Amino acid sequence: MLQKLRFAAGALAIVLLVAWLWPRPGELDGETSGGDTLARIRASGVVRVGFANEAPYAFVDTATGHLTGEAPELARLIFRQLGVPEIEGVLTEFGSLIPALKAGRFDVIAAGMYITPARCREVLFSDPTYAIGEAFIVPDGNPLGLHGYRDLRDTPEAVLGVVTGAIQLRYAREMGIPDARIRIFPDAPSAVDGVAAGRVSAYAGTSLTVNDLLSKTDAPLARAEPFEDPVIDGKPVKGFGAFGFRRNDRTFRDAFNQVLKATIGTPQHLELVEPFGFGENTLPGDVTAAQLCGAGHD
Amino acid sequence: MIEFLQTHLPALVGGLRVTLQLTVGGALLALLLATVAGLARRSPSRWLRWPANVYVEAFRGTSALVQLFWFYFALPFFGLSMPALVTGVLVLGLNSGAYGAEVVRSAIANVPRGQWEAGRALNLGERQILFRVILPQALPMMLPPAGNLLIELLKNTALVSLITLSELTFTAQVQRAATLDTVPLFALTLLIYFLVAQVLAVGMRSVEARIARRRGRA
Amino acid sequence: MIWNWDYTWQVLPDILRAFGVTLQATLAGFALAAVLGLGWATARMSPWRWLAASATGIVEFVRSTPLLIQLYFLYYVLPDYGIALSPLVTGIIALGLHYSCYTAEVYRAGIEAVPQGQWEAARALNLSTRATWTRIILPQAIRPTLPMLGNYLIAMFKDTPLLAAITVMEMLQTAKLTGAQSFRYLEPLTITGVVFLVVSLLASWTVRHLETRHAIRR
Repeated sequence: MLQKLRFAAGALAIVLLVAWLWPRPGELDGETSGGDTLARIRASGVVRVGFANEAPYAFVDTATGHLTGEAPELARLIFRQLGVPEIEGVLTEFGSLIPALKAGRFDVIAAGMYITPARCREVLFSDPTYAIGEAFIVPDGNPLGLHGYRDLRDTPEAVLGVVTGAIQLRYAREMGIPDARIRIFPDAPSAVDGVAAGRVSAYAGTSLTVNDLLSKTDAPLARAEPFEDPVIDGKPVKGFGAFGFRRNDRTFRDAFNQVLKATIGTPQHLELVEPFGFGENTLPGDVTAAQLCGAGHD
Repeated sequence: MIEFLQTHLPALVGGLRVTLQLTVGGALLALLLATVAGLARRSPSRWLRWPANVYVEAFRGTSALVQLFWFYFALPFFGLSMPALVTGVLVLGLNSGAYGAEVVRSAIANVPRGQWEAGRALNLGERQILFRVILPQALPMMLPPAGNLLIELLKNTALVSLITLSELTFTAQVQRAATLDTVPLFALTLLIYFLVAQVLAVGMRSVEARIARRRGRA
Repeated sequence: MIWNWDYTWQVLPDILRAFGVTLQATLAGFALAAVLGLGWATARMSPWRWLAASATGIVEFVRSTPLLIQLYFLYYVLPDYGIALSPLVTGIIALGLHYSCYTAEVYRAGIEAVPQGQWEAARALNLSTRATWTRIILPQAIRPTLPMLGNYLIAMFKDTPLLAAITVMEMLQTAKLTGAQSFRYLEPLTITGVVFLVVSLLASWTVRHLETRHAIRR
């Protein structure tokens, strides 16, 4: 009798275990290759997007388990208009996003990836969805009237604060600001404190970092507006983020671009991305992917 | 403590599910491959022996993690691309199967020669001898090392976290990045692996006992 | 042709340089494992019950849980206690600790295989505990375990790619990074796999050769 009970218990345990482990529909979904991607995702109602878990561009909110960020939210908005109501995130290392896209593990890269000529050779980019340039944090009212690196260079009493290891030190030097007027801080919060305390006239960081810092501080500080990006090698320094598509998904990319054009800059769009630190000042303007990719690519 | 468990346990259990999927899937595949390759290695025909040898040496001689990366990142260049879970099961199965083939082969080799001879004397065909005389005797010898390989397989599932599959280790990392409860989280994760390993060990031991009893009767 | 030979020659020097790091990690880790394992083995045989029990518990726990998590644990937790070590050193310590639990088993088997008579003779000759261990027991215990230790050295070598998870620039990490930059993973990963295969095949043949030589001499 005991023997039978034990047997039954064991059998039940195994059945429950198998039921728990058995893959649910959709869990084993793999690649999708070729064919009309847009038609396929319209039929299935879900588009798989690759992301690298980087806030605020595209990340999983651990409290809710929800994929969010500038790129996923904008993607949801656009894909809904394309007839695809759901997006599903596929987590990948940033460096593997492009190979994974090509291998068909997902259909779009939604990670806020910068458009670079090298990447343009591997994938098709949508038109940019944001442009991050540089920015200054200055005291409220911008007393010294600093609107860029050039202004700072031309104002003899102005001192610039940068964070150690950040690219702004290079920008400052290339723009001709003497080292004596540059102060290097160990991290961004201390640089912000430096501006508030008057030790430096401005802190230079990427536009997004500046937004993020200003949202976290109570000190009487502000972004320097308008702002002129440093011009280095004849080009203003800016990072343009966009969505990535496979090279044989040109019609898919073009359809996306059409909806993107109508969406970007609208109050709906801005409201969507503002929680992540994006806004009017990160709109890409009229720049197209083709321009950023350079000759011969788009 | 309760709060800690409430925050993390649901996520970790989700990760555990994937870990178990990898373990069970990998083990089944490994069992199949080990049997086929183990037998093939003993075959007089070189067409069977050589591919089996190449398979076993290749997968035992390279690192499981490198194999995992190769299947996940390099195979797509040949047009073959699979989701992370499938890649994990495949590589773990291939890897453990190679070690398992050795276990099968050496267990069979350890069955006394006399058994083969007696079988032939009784006019049984080679295949009959193998399946009805030798294998049943070899089986009890295979079980203890197989148990070790199973636990190795369980530990290797952690490697699949590195191709961003949300098994237990990956989930622990994600939770850690979000809450910074580093020490308790990793301790809990280690504990879960340890408990699963113990369950597997107990399971294998009961299978060994059952086979031993059967053999006694046979 | 899918394989790109130009790229292969381009990438080869980087991977071979990373091989140096792999080798460093393997040898240093193994040295640690060999020494520490002896410590565990003697602790487990200690007359003090609590010492023996704790040692057994720790060894079993570390052996049954994934090296990857132990690696993460050291990497994230040590700095919190003010111990700032390079990723390579952290990796070496993790490898050494993990494998010391395997070498401990090997040593234990070796020590237990020494005939009881040796212990008795040592006592009869009034040798101190230390002399008994260092001059009579260990030399006899360790010799036959060398092939098994050799196998663990090879196993550790194949586990070094795990260090990629804590950013050590050994072969797999190098292959991954060059692959990410050039968008071609096939060549770097295959080269890495081949290097592992060649080295571990050579090493296993050496171990087997030493094994037979040693057996013959006895």
